[in-house]
Amino acid sequence: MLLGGFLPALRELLASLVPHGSSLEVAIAIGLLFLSLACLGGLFSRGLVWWSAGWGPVELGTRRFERRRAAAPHSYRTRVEAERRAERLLRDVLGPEEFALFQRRGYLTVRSPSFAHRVYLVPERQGPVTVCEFGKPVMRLCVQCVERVPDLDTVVMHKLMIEGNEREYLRIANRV
Amino acid sequence: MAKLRVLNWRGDTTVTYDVERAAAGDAEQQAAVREAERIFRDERARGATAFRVQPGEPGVRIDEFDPAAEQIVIVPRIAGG
Repeated sequence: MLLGGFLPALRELLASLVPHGSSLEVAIAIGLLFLSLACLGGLFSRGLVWWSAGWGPVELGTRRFERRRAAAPHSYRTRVEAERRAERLLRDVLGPEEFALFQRRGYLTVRSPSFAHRVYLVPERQGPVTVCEFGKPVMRLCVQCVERVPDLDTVVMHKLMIEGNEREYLRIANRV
Repeated sequence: MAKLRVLNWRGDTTVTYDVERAAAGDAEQQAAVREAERIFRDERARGATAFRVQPGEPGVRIDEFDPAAEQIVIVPRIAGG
């Protein structure tokens, strides 16, 4: 009954807005109006869901931040952005010359601070690190971050752990 | 400006702060330094390892937050693969 009164009123309103329009044009205008309202409603409800699910702005390090970090979908765009950040970080850590060398070779050479003739060859993709002594490979080590991180961040992890905490790195590593 | 970078699935999350301005009494920078220190503490408690980093030089492991460090990188806990 309410709809029965509403539709003619709407039709009149649209007829006044489209004074010279045919019935078909008025019907199309009504359809477009309903479609617009449906779209707006959809956007509003999505926004409500987004906000209530905790996807609003959050402060770094808070519990909400941690929950969001754990639940975040690893979309393609997010992964690309993460790889870009990881590349910037690695460039900052290595310096431009060593970074260029790393890109050319496809692996990073890290000198052992404890063993004079030992170097670690860290691949650009996540995988085993080759340990070389006197220029020859002697073993391969598998170490990874417990959290998922981009490949180039793993390179940063290997470099920093070997240079700054080699004993712990070797204790944790699995030989493969 | 000093940086604290925490490695994570986003690449890294960076907090920047200016120690000189904080020492000069800038309230905003003092809050930023406190925030960086809090994140450092929390990440260490979760088993992460922190390093003081300078480009082209070996990283130095640190156990306490060093506000004088130009850049600190925090690596998540590691495990044998």
